[in-house]
Amino acid sequence: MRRTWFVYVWLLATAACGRTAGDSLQPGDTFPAIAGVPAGEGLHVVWVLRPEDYLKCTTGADQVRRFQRRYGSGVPLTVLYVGEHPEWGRAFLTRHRVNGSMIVVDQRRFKSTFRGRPGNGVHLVEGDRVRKVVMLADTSELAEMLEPVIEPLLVGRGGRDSSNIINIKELR
Amino acid sequence: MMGNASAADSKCDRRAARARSWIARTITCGVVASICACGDRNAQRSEIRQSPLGNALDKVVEWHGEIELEENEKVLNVLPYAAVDPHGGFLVWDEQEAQIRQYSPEGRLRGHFGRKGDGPKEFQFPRAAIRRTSGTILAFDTYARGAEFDQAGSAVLRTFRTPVGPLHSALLLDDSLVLLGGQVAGSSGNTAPSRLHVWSLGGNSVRRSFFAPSLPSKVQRLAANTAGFVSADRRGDVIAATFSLRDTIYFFDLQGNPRGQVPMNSQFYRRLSSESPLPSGKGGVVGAREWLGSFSLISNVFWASDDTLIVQYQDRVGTEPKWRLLGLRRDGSRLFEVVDSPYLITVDQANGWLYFVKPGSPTPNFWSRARLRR
Repeated sequence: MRRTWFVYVWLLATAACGRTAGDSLQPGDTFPAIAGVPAGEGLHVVWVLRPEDYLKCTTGADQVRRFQRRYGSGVPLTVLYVGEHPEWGRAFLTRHRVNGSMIVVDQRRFKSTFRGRPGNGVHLVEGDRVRKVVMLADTSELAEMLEPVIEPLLVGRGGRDSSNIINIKELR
Repeated sequence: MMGNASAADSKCDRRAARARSWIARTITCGVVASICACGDRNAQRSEIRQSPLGNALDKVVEWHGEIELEENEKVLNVLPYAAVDPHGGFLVWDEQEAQIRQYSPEGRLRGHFGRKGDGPKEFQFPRAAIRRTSGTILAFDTYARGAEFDQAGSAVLRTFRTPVGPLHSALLLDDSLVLLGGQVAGSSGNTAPSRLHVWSLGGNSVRRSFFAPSLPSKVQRLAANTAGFVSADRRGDVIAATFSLRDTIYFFDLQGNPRGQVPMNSQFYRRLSSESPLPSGKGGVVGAREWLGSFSLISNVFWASDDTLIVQYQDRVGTEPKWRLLGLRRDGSRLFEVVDSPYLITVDQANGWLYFVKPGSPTPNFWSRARLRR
């Protein structure tokens, strides 16, 4: 009975703070075309999000928010939602004031496309080329980690100016 | 404990302590992430019922304007909680942004402090902010620590540790005593733990612990470990307290002596019975979350200026709380019950104002001010 109790506690603990699996993509890889992602030629970020990633205490949403406050619509966000209950995911993103579009794919399709388990990672993509992958479980400084890669690319596109800074009201 | 053990034992002790701490933290992370739920007596998987009156809040309160909380590049209201600031306006703490803010009554941002971390001006999940009569601000983190700041919040006057973690509520009893709601860190097992603690600021110690609702079954103990919210409010020398899994209001004097209890007589509260099933191991985190949504959780109790007790409880649908408001007289007789209410942020007992997140607002920085209809 004690063991059974422990299993339940472990389950909820895992539900709360489980660590995510690794991601198979590396800088230089082509971001697999899946459900219209990536789209366009520009610089953008793709956040792979599963229910396990936000049904816990540390979700990474605060990091994505900080990133968005820094780069705004200059580096748009697509949330690649993998798994069941996408309506929970939408509600989570709204509640956490994360601004972007969300595309839903099922677990099987994601795995077959990515050749691995989805990880709770943010992928900086230029066109269809992966520039950097940051696993949110490994850092609390997403914006700082992406900055050295983003800044030169933005300079090449005329630099980052105030037009790239998101209007906070847009987050509503 | 560490000093008289061998090096190996010390290491083992530290590991065990870390493991215990980790387990306690991770379980309660669910609380932080959760914040929601509601139901039907003795039902194991009951449906959430809708009020036959629809959204009846307009019949309960009259609206008196709106407030937009000022935001900027450094301040964004994500998951704000608030208390009326005796110096005017509001003290707002945001557990997602790990920040404490001071707002004027009109919503102008007067200042902010705090960020994520474990340092003296940092928080993991800020859980309460209280203005002392001297003007300084006590700020409590969820996990057994906090700091006292100067009036502006610009300087840390001292840091402190409390024995309570996770903390759910904090209420100033007088300028030297704070009522902390939550469980003493490390207390577990089959004995029902005390949920309220009179904590001495000067001595940095607990004077008395009380309010130990029984948890007779495993499923209730599991729910309490995951979402054991405690709330308290005070009117004069009486404390009203609630526990998330009990549809009862408990009264105490300021020393913690029991002064009676009344059932809530809710029409819609879904009680977690002892016979309710444990979450299915097959369901993983999604199943655990669905289980959390199979019963109601009492989140707050407020004592309004006209002596009405307002209980806010929740039914979780997925990740989102659906808020319900229950108004009671002190004898427990029901005045109103509203489902699908906007979130009630705080109540100004002195002036009779109720502050809600503006109905229909997708973000919590728009508030509506209301007053109970007479």
